[in-house]
Amino acid sequence: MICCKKIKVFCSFLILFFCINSSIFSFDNKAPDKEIYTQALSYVRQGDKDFAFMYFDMLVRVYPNSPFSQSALFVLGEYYFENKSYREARDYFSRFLAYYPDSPAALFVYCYLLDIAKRGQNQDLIEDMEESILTYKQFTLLFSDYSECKYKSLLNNEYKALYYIDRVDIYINENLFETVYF
Amino acid sequence: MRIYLKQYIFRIVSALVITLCFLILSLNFYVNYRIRDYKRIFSEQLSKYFESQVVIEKVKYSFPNVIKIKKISAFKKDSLTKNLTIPLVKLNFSWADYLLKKKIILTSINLYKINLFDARCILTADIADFLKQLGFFVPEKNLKLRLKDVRYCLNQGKSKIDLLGDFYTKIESNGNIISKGKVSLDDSSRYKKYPDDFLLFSSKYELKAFISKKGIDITSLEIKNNNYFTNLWGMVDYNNLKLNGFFTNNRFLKYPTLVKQKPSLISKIKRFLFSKGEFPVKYLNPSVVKPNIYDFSIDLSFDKQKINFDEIRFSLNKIVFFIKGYISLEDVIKLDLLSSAFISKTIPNSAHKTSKKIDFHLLGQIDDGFYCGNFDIDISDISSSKIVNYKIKSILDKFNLKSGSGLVAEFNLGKGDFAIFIDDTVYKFIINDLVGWFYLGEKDKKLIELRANVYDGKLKATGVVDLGKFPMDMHFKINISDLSSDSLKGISGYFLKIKGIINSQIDCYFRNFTEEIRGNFYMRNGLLDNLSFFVWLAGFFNMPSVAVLNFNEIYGEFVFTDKQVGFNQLKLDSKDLDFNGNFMLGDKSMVSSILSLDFSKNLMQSSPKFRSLLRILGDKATSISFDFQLSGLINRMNFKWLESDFKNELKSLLPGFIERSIEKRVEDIMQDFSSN
Repeated sequence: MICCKKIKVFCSFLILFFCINSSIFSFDNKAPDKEIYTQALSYVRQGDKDFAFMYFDMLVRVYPNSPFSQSALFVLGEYYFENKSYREARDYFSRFLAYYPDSPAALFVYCYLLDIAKRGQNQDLIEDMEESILTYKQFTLLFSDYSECKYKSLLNNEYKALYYIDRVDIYINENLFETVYF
Repeated sequence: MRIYLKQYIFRIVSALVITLCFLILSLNFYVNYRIRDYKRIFSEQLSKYFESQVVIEKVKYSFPNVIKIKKISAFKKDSLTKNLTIPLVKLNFSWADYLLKKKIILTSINLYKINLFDARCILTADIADFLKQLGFFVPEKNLKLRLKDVRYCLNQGKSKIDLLGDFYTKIESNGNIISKGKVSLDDSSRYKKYPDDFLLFSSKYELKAFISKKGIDITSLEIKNNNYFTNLWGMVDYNNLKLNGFFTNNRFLKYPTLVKQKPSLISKIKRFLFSKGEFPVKYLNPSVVKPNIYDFSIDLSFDKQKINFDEIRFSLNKIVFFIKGYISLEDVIKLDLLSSAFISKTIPNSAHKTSKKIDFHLLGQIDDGFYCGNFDIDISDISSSKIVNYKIKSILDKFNLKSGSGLVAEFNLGKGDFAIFIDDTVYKFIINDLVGWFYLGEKDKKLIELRANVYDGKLKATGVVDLGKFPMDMHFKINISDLSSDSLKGISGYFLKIKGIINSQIDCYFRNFTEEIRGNFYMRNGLLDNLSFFVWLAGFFNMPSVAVLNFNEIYGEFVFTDKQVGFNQLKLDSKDLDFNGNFMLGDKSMVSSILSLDFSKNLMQSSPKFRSLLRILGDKATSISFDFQLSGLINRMNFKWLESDFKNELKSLLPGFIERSIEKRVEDIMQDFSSN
């Protein structure tokens, strides 16, 4: 009989434990954008870009005002560009510039859009993007040869822009991507 | 018997002849008696019509049906100068109508050797009244009107350009008018041959019209020569002229451009087998180099001594023109004419177009051949990204145009007060005693020469205008010498701060609606008085003597084009400071510049900042050179100190954190400087 009671108490504790845990779990569900973001990052770490893309896309669509949407939107543009879907890439990068014009990634969005404009031979867009890249920052070179801008995307691509006095060299993962002359 | 018969017939014939002579003489006497007042009536009517004295020497009847009016002279108002002379007018009438209807009905009017010295005497005549009379004047019989050997002296300068004309008009009793004639240049007297441009004056015309109650309906008025063809149609009523039509160049119709197309295999075989047949050719579209006017529409109204241009519209080689205003043809000709041109051009490799609207406004008067008044040009340049407005407002005093010796047009301007507005900036200057020559001899390329005084300096210019192209190309070489810089303060306030005597050569190109200005200027032994860059330099390096700087020489080469504006070479040579470099402002206000500053040791020692630097560098430094490069937007310029021995030496002496600190300070200064 006493044993039965002990079993009942144990069961009650077990139920309480699950209840508490489930409440914690439900608390986590109140920040689902972070959950999706974390999930996407885990796929990036696994090297599975397609699944990462799906989660980033979900994040941007479902939670467009999330603080994680900025970097996610850049990733979507990157993903489409890497897959040579330039029209979609242009749409996402354009949205990025519309929402986050002051982002440190904006410079590299200009570079992507410049590349897309060159492929489409869109002269007006080429001129606009070149101007945006050249006027992105003001710099003074007294003792150094160039001024540098860097950005690392969630897909682990490393972006670098070297502002020389007469040109801007843009690198992606240490590979020269674009050169724009003043 | 035979002799008797002979004598009898002779007597009869003699009697008949004598009777006939008597009848003719009687008739002559009778008719001349009847028309004795015609001389006075004609003189009065014509004087009333021309509003000046018209003298007729004689009105005389000649058998059988001719009334001759001899020596008609129309004089200028209150003057003995002749406007018009007609030595002989013959009026033919119908005796039958006279005998049956008891009134003189003219069947033909012939005017011979008309000399017209001033066309205004016809234009200023009461045209409305004249047309009113003509409107009701549907002759009862067909009337022929012939004007033979009309001579009009177009210009009364050193070389006369005389136009000769022959006109024949038939007005039928049903109101139909048919008129033919020609106008040609009289090249017999002074020059054997006029240039091709003058061929416009040598034309034939053919008019088909009919008189209605409203006025004259012009069915077709063709004016043409070997080069041009014009067709007009419209209506003239008592005080209004409305015409529509076109003006086109005949040349490309005669000589279309052919391009041989690549022959097909079949045509090659045919040619090989049968040795005949031409390879296909492709006709290109007519060239638009020569002027062609389409959609021509004119609406004029006449007041007394005034022609109102209610509306003139036409499209000249796809450029739409619009003109309105008036010309008052009194002794002092007054005019107020506004012309607008609309030009649209596609930008290469772009979906955008640029559009230009150019307004010309002429408001003034012409007195004794001299124009005094305003001449304004207003250009609105609308491109995809911006609207730029240029305005040239000028007040011209005593401008005239006359023919010089040879095929030269000479123009003079007593004084020209010019103000050029580019957006909100105004550039003002005055030109005095301008004399120019326009050489008409060459076929397409015309030479222009100008001489003028610009304040205390002299201006000489030579230009070539290529009329063989459309839009025409122009190239002017302008030379300005010995001009005090402070007199140009109306152009820019900077000229008050750069004191000296300016000499300059300028090349201006106008090609295909784009302008390009290149040139150089040169000043010697002048003064830079608080020029903003040197004031900044004096403050930054603590060298007050740089703010007001005597210089030995300043030289610069400048460029103004659609793509870039700035200086290719700038050189300042002074005792303690040398300055060299270039500064170009490109498309979208992007700067491209390399500048070099050389400070003398004396100057450096006057600066507390440089004194410490000199101590570091030691005594070996006699001067310090700063070479730097600028790029980026004009209001956000990037700065780079270029490599030099001095920089390398300084770099080896300074620790890294001081370099970064200096770099940060200069960056802040550059941001302040360029934003201001």
